Amino acid sequence: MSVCITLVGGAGTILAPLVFDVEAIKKLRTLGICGILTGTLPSATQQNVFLSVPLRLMPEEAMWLYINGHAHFKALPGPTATAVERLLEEESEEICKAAEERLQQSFKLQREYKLEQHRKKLEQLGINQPSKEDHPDSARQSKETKLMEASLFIETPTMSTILTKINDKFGDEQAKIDRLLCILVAQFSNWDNYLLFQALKNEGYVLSPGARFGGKYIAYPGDPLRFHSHLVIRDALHYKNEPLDFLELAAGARLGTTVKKLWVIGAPTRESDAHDSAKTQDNVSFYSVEWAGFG
Amino acid sequence: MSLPANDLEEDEVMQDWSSIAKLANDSPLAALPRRGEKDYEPDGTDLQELLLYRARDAMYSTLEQGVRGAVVKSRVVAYYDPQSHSAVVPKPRGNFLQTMGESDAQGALWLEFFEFMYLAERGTVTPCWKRHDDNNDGDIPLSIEDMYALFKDQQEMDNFAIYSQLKRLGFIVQLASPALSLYPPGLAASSPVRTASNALHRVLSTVSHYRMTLFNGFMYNQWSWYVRRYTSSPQIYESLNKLIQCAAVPHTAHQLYNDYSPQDSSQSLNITFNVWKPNPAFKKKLPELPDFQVATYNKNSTQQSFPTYKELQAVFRSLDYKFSFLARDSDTEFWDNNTYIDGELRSAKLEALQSNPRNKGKAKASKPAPPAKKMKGKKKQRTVSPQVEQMRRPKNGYRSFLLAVMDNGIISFAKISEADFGSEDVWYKPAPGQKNNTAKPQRQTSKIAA
Repeated sequence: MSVCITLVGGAGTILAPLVFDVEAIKKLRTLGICGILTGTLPSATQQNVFLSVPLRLMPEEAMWLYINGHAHFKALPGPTATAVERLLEEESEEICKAAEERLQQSFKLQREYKLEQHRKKLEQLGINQPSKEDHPDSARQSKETKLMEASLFIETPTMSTILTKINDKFGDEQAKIDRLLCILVAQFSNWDNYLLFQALKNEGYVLSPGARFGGKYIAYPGDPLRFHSHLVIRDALHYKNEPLDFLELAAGARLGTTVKKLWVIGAPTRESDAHDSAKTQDNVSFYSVEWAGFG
Repeated sequence: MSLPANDLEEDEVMQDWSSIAKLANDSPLAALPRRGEKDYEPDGTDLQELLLYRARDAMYSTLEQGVRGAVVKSRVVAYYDPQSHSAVVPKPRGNFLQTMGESDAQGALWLEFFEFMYLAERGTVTPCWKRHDDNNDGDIPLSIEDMYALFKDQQEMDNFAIYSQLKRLGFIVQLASPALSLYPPGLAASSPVRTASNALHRVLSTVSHYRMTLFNGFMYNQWSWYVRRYTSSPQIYESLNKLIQCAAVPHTAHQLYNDYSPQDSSQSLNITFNVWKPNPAFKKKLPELPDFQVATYNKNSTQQSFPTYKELQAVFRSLDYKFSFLARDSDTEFWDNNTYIDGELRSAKLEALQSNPRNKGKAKASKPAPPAKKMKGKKKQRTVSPQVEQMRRPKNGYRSFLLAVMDNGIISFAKISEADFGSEDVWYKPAPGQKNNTAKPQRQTSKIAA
């Protein structure tokens, strides 16, 4: 199963990659891509610990999934509002009808379910279901039906049925997707960081954003649900030519050691074309720093 | 989850609905997975596998059970309007009315896009597309994915995430607006005279800094030892103090007035949100000054860089909230007399509201003034020793704001404040009965308020 990642375009920009399908999220988790859940959980709306879809991916995660053939993109040229308007001009009747049908279908299922529940409850209480022909009860029954109609649930779906149509019209050409990805990486990161990400990912680490620990990424040895993270990885640094600030080294290593992590500096060892090196893996080297507190 | 219902098997759907009922009946938090102990690293044991499986299972089932929506009876529909990039609720109803949106003459409620998103995501409103041709009925319902696709740029998406985070914590959040201000309207208006005098003042204040250091340079040479005579140790410290240059941080209303310059959109970092602590007496139309102000910053965007000192200064100059060093939070009289809403004093607006015969009963009932007045009695304030207060001041600083840092979905809040080390006399022990350092700012501000 290839996972669908939604890429929304803005005015000359690409917005952060998102995943809306829970099945896709499960699949990604088995691949060691966890992302960050960002939506309000409707069953518990007053807390920030447990959140719901959409899953927001780091650009590096989206790239890695795409390069390794685990994902495809649903790219939407911005601004979406105008695209939707254009679509509605042509197909509004159709979309309306489909939506109405879906709603009625869900109502039908709910009614059946509720009547069944009602019947079971009455049975439990030992009351015989009054037959429909009973005349004096029909008023009460219509009242009951009214109550039931009012308690039917209208779901706000998570996944779109409209956007797929826009995406289809936009086309799925390889070159276009590649260009979008280049914009995405340039906008939020760089290729050197991606290479670090890729190397660690292929070592079996699970990576997540690391600003809370003063780094670019933090790395877990397995699923973050069960394991503590081991590494704080700094932005890629070409340490052969670029200087490393001593204060930064001290701060990074001390903070890392305090939270029981290693502070890691890494860089691609060879300057090479980004696209070529994205496919190869053995061209990144790392150093880890620990605050020894000796003496 | 949103597959057309006829594609699903019937019992699958039914199971879903029963779990919704379960969530609604039980305490919702009881159904959520708890954060348990973690292990150091995978060791390949079955036990670990089992624990991981359980943790994931709990997570997935929570995600799957979390269906958004409302029942027919309590459904509130909000329509997205592509022209204004906002949403309208024709028949508004619900608790959110108290703190969100803006009503128009027809009684409809207009929501900012992020408010619309937030309410739709928690299932409070049903999002639909607003159709301009009225000849065909039938709404076009929107999905959550559709709504995310309507973001114009990354900043809007990040701001929404930060807004939601604060709302979920219970805060009242609105867009920062120049209509609500501590500063009188003449000050905020960019009249050329005012700006010129502001600029002049700023130049003068920097000159006065330099003058001081020039003076020091002159005084503090080797000859001064022959000229000066120190008769006590504080004198030595005082003269040393003059040697060190430090920025003047505004402590009083007067200094704040002089330093104020409203934010303009050309600044790279701006205050985005006003934030109030949860307050059941919150008035949407006549808000108090906010308790906090929040600026947002995407750490990973290559178009943004961490604010420079100059940019931070510009933000500090534009801050406009309940500065806790001016008066206590509970001093409603002071704040009402120093809050301007659309150029008018809040106290005057409240009075007008009260004298309006239509609102008389309502306004009286909602006025919590008497207990607040009691709090104002200065002796009843909880007193901390001046030493402790002095230790706190450099830590808390004076003007401050929250910087919300977005890192690929993870939000961290950093409080950035102006600390004033320069005016703290650390060595100085006040004579008994002369608590000059703590009483000074308060006395001056109450004068301005009068």
